[in-house]
Amino acid sequence: MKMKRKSRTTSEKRTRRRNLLRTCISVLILLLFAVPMFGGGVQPLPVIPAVICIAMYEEFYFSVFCGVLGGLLIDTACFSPLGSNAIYLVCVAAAVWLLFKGLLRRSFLHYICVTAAAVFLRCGLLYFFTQVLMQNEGRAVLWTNVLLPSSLWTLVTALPVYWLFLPCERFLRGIPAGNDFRLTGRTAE
Amino acid sequence: MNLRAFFRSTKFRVLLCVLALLTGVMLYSVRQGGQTDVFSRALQTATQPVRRFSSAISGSVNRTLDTYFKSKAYRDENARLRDRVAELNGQLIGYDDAVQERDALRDQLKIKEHSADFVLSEPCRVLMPVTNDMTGSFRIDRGEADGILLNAPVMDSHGLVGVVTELAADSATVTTILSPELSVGVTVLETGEDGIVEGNLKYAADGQTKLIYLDKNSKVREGNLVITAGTTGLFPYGLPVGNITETGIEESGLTAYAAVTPSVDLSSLSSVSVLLDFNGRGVARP
Repeated sequence: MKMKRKSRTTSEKRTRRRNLLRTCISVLILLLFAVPMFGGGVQPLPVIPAVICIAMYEEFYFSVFCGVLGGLLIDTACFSPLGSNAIYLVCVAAAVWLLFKGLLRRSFLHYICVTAAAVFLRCGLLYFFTQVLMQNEGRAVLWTNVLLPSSLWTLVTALPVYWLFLPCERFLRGIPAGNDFRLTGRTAE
Repeated sequence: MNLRAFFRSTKFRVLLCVLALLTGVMLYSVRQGGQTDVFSRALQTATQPVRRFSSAISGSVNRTLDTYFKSKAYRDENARLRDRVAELNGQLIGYDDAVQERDALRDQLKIKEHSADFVLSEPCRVLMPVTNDMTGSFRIDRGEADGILLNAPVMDSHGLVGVVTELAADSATVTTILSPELSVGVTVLETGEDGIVEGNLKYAADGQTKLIYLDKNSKVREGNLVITAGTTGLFPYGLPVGNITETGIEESGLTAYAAVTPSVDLSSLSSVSVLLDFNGRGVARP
């Protein structure tokens, strides 16, 4: 005999609504932080810390989706071959998700270290693929004039990204103020 | 979750599928050349309003910060320019000679005859520089819908600026002559020597480009005018590229090089024209 599914309880409905809202807010924050990248000239890439933040707190598939979205936004802003940064950010999102799932505690220090590693690794790869392989003359100038300033600005923007994500996560996951998962390393799932 | 379990999970398979899909998109995009594939165009067009908004804010903030942080540099520049004006006033005595020399050079270049066949686009407004690019590449507010062509030369009244390397429906990207991605066949007007102007990041940092493959015993000197050779059919003959500011021998010792300051001030461009057609376009000349 086919079992009739029980209608959702109010608590379940509220949780679903909260999850949906959290997902929408995360995507909105990601898009918001993409705006400065389109300004032209030497600009930070705040989408990288935003993707890392999402991968720290959200579930796997959503993190990967945000990696794709963020990467495509960087490709569009920087006129790099479409998909190149998306591949990188998908890998970063998956790695960060795994790291914070099993190895690292969710803390600001870990977040900033992982962000710095991701930002500078991207610079290294970009430099290698666009300059070293092409044997471009005077390529070191690219570091001092573009890659280093852009990376440092990206690290600076990592702070507002974190401080914007953290309250959203706290509020929408219903974590009491005293139960700070920066200290406990656990989310209230 | 341990790693072995992750590698056996559906999550890992989905991740691989996503990566394979993105690799496919990237290879397709690279293969298209000029990044004018359908996906890029769609994204460029969709993000155009954001680009304008961000560019406006970024420009405004930069100008404000500039006023505060570079006031000393501007004061110094002002003083230097006053000296220069005084010096130029002194040189006005030789002005008539200079005009005659200019007319002679124009005749030599046959600019009038050559430019008569130029089909130029409507003036294009420079929207914004490309993000994180130090070679001065920029976006213009006209695209395919306005008849702009891929690889068409971009110029202003002073000379060659670059070429169109990426097209969207209502905007385009111009790669300047400072970029290592662009090579232009040129001739040094005074000596008739041929070479290639190819950007170089070291020189681009100073707003210069590099003339390479000159003969080791080249007679090229500081101040010589470099013009397009028009041999490939991509550029017309005689478009001013810049003036030579420095010469030297390459490390290999086989050829000479020269640093070239572009005729066009690429840092303060506000409007350019795209050369849509000219006599000999697409025809290689020996």
